[in-house]
Amino acid sequence: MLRYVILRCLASIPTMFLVAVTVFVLMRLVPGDPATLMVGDVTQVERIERLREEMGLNDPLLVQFIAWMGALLQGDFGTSFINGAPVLPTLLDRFAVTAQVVAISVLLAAVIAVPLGMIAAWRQNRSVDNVIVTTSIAAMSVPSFWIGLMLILVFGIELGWLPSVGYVSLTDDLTRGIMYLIMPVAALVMAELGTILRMSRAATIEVMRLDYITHARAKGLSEADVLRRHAFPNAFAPTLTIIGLTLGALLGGAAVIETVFTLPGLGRHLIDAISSRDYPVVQGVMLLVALSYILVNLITDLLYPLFDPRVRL
Amino acid sequence: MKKLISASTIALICSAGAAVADPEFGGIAKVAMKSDILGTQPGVDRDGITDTLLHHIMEGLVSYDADVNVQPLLAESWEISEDGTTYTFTLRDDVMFHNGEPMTSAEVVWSWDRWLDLETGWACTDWYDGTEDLEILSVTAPDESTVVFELNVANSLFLAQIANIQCLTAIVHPDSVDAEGNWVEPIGTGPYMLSEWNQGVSVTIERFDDYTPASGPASAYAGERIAYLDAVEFIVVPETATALAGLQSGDLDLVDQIQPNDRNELNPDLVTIHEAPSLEWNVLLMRVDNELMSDINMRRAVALAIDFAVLAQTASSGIVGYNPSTIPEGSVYHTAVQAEGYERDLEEVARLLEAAGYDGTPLQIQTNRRFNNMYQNAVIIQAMLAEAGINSELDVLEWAAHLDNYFNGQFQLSAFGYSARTDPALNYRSVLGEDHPAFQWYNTDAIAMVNEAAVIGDPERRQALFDEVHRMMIEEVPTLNLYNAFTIDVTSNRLQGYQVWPAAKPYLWNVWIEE
Amino acid sequence: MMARLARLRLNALVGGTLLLIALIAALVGQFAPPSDPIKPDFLVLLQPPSWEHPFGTDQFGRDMLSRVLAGAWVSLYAATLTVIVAFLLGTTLGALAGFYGGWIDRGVSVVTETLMAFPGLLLALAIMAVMGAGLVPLVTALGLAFAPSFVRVTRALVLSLKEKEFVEASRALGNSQTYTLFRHIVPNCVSSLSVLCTTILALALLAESALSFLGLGVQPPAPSWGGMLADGRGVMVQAPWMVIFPGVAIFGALLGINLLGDALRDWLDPRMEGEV
Repeated sequence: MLRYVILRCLASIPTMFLVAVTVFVLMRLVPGDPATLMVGDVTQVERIERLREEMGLNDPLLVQFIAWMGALLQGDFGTSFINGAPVLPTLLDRFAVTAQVVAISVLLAAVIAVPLGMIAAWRQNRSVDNVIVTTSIAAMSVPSFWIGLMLILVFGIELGWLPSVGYVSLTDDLTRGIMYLIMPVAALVMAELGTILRMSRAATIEVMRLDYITHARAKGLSEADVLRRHAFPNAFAPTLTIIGLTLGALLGGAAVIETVFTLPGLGRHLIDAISSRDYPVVQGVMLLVALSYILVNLITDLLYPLFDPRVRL
Repeated sequence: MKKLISASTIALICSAGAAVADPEFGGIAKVAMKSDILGTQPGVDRDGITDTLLHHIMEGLVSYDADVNVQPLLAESWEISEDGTTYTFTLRDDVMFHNGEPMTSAEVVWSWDRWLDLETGWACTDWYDGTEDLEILSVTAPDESTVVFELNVANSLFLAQIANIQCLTAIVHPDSVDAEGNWVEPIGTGPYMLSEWNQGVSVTIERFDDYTPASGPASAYAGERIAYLDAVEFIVVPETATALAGLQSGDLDLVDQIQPNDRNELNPDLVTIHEAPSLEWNVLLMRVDNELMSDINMRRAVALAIDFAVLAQTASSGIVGYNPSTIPEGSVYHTAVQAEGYERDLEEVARLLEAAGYDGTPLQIQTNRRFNNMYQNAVIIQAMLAEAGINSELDVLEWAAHLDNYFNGQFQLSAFGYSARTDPALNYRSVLGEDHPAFQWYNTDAIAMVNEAAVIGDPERRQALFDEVHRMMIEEVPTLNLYNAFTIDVTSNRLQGYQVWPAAKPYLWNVWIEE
Repeated sequence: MMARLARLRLNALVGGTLLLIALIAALVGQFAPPSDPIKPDFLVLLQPPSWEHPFGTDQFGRDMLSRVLAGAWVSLYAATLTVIVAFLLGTTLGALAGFYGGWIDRGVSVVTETLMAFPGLLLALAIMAVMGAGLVPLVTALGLAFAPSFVRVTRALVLSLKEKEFVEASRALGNSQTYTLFRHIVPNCVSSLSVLCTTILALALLAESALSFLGLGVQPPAPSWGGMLADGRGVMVQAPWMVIFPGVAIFGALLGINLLGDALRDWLDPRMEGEV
């Protein structure tokens, strides 16, 4: 088990390195100069030169890369070009916001979708199944950002029930925090529901076909017991993988929903940093996103055997 | 067009007159800002939003009034020597810092030393260190209430420069920095002090109770500035659409700089709209060193293909008209001469195109979507050029790339815009120059005339110079001025006394809340 | 059983109809739109839906119906190209990795992992900034982002097929590795991959809209559904038609693809035939 974890961590090193190199090179290939952006339309040639020097942009690329890597290995993510603040604390703040929204959404989606998928599988090809499957396909087909806009239009503006501006952290003020989270979470749940539901249904159908379920039935166990004790626990493991993948993808890719609801999350932070060519911040965000993706996958894989006794790590 | 402007101005004055009520102390106003502030050190951590906020906390010796004239703020008065190189400021004796210490000439000298020190990283040192023509040779304090600035040359722009909004020449208490000289927090003299900065979310400022306002009538950044509000919360709301929704649902009290189109979505019963002409100006840049555009016939063809009145009307929803001059319409130097521009003439365009040997190659118009006005201008100009037989394609870039190309002169046509400058000489210096590709117009005579206008103080002579430069510009067509921007701010109905002004900077003193 | 067939038929019918509508819309939008979807008309800015403009007009006075139709072409075209790029790239790499194993397999898996750990958003932005805005960079970026799915599925399929008798037989007959791969293994992957293609088509369409919504996708003035939503967002209170119609269009197209994909999956996967 421990050996497995260590091996997995070692295996992710080349990936992380490749991510680092790619981000570094891509950002420098992209046209646009951070110093010029800071100075704007006022023609101050000397000041731009000074800024470039301070930012270390006049050094050869390899020197810049090695300096960045060296600092990273000591846990130093550098400072933002734009406001000179250390990259890491801001990054973690923003990550907390994204993680809050995404974790709640995926959890909620799973709580709704997993049982529904199992029910659909149990009643496979009956009308209940058809209704559940068709609804989930419809939900999958609604773009989250569009449903976000519609929610704002209806509940934020027309009805005025929910705040559409700003953000309050759950840890600062629980009730107000919840008010701010309702709409983004609703939009994300709707978007992710379908994928999880289909996986849960497919996995359950797969399990129900296996011999031991037939055995269990033959032994005269009640249908409820068969489902609860034998079918569902084994069907959950593959679904967990999909939940993990969804979580991993959303942690890095919630930028659209953050834009719609003006949440100060990581995706928004990344877009802002890219448009102001804040290289250290972009690089930091990318590494954090890649790391969280790898970690979520690792944790999912570690949890897998808990739900599927056939798998041993 | 002119008529429209004055009509709306009158309407504004009337509504302002009708709404006068006695100011009340108390309450908290909530203001939307498009992005978080960059920091709290003026001129160092700066962008438009940071500037707006820090001007509530810190003040300089002089400041702009609502007509963008320089007025005293922390200074009581000033004297200029005969030769124009010595400025002697007398300080007010009733000014207190947020930490309770009185302001004296020592802090003024300390502050100026800090900003001019290259180590500080202040954004506008170029203006004062001889990089451009002006250099401050020394800032000294002969006594507790007097500060003397020695300049290398006479310069009519000096007061305007120290009143500038971008690099607030703030007088701060030395305790604003730690022992190593690192910036800690702003201890200024403003009507508000910094209360809480919740990074990425909001900044709260609260009233400074020991504030003594300057004498003189309240006028924008100058005169009697009184904080009636207990506090102001600036909330990060990147999207205007969301901000306006928040304004109408009562979550916000002020959203500044909205687009003309956005007005239509506002319910007039819930909000008050404030409009004022601004000093920013929109342009269509034409690269004179580009192969095709180096031919003046081609540039004139483009100029005469555009219906500038319709362009301004459409892009601004009828708020502003065509301004052919680099000098903003609101300026005292904007006269009948500055109003002379180009008239659309499609037959002449055809002749010019023939003379230029134009073969139908599409022109590339660079623009971006970050600034909606630039994008709109490009779309409209493309349509107008097409009607005149000039093919063109939009090249929609990301703002960073667009700006980079502007700065390096890498474009054929570019729908661009300039931020506010507070003197016509500064306006012209944005486009006129010869040693850098970011300049659009290389003409040594014009450069000499603008340089002269930057030094002398005589308004008549300056006017004559600016008029001549404008005529030359229309003749040579190095770049096309389109129209001045308008600033449109929206407030909730409970926020009273709010005023907009040409610098387009919202301020939250002399406003109060009435439920 | 009957219910399954009924649903399969209904899904295929509804999905097919929706997709057909989208295709017709795309063709009309591309070749014969009711009016020019790009040229501004300053006399009819932000008009609500009417007989003349059934979907209203936008802030440049452009007919929203024409734009939604033209957007169908842009969006479907970009999404289809994305699937083709991802398919070619992904199946080739996946087949090579699965068939040859060894260092090729390890190399492919590191690249795949990296691509998956990389938010498509940044990839798209960077590629588009480097290559310039337009369809090609967009498709390249999205193609790269979706290729790993094809790599994984193809690799797994090839690994399992490699052990099958007919493959062994082909080798025993002295056929070359490459011949065996393309003659015997690739054709047997078709049904699974075609299901994956519909899934990716839907995801690509969604991703294209999302990127255009963020201003990173198809560049204006070319109409794309996501870009129209972004345009309409600022004026959605006053002109809700600007966000409703493009959104409904995206929903309709996605629903069509997803329903067809579901039907296809049911039809191709015999194990899914219900016995309960």
